[in-house]
Amino acid sequence: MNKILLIALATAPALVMTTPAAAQSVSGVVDITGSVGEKCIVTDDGTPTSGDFGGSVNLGQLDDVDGTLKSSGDLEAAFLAAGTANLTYRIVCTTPNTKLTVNANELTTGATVSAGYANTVHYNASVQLALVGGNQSLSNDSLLVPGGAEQTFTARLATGPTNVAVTANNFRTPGADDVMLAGTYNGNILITIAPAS
Amino acid sequence: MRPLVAPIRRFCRISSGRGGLVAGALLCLLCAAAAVPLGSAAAQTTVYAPGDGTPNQANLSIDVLASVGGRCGFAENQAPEGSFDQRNFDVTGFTEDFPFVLNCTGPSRVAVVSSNGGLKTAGTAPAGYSVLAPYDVSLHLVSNTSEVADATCPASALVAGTGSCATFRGAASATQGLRIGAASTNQTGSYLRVAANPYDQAVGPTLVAGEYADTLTVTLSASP
Repeated sequence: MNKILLIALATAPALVMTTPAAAQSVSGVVDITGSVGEKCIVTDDGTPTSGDFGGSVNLGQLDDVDGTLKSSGDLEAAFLAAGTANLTYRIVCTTPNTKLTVNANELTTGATVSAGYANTVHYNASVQLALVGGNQSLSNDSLLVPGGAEQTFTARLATGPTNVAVTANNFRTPGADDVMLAGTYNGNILITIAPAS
Repeated sequence: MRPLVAPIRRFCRISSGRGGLVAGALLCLLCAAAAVPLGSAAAQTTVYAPGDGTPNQANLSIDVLASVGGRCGFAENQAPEGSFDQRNFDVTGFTEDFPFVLNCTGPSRVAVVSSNGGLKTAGTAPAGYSVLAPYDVSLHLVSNTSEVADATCPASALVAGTGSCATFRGAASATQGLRIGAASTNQTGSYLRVAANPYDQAVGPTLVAGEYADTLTVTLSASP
């Protein structure tokens, strides 16, 4: 009798437990953090010969028929003829503000200069930034030593196709009527774009 | 069980032969009632006391049915928990696994919810910039058998209520979540993986500088 009862007691709970248990739900939590640093990224570098972005401009023959420097207008046109591949770039910065410096270095040749002659051509370089909210520009004349001071623009660079463009004007010799000395002339425009908090 | 039948029946025969007692009759009735379910063979077989004849025992077969209800959870201290930080992830990208151990005696499902739908930083981004960095979430589930389950969805598809990852977005339930069709009891090898390639700033949108964060909530449910 006792054994029979024991079997009955053992079976009863077993039958109860054949009902599937309700689905349980438990959870865990994973936290992921990271950072994006302050930086500028060149996404369209032009055709640089050095540095992170840039290009080359060949102004061709500098002297006019009378031996003096061609007109600034002619040289400005020659400068622009280098085209967008050399003179426009795309740079994005992760910061809300943008720092820019422009340093124009004059065109010079190695020939020894004497009175009435020139081995140097000065000019003014301008860099135009396409910023969120509008364009801004910064210029520097090669006659100024040292170069242009850093300027902070309180806006992000716009993210259009290109957002940095370079132009040059006011080409001139030290003396207005200086005769250009023969030679190969070299100069450059140094542009620095940096992130700013 | 078997040895009890003969003494009971002998007791009953003895009680009847002697005019019986009420208590003895009741006991016989109880014994008979208890013995009925034991099978028809018992009812047709006479079992004798040793020395009174044979057989001296009867074989009884009792089917005992039982089951264990579905138990399902993460093994103790083995839930997918933790934190991961990657400086300058836009440059480096990242991959990180969060291992966990299932302890489910039957099929189960695992689901994930992303609080931000990506790594997010504060503020509003101007046109062309972004304050939300995408990344992928993968689940790999192992079982007691060779069966495994794998799936990957972008974090953007794991936002509660709106994400498009039908495979494992949301809170796990019997019908929601990545399903592993076999029991997985204390098997190591399951993991949640978060991963992102270096961000292509040339394609953009450009991620703005800042601290980014997201929280993934991983839930587990039995899925009978």
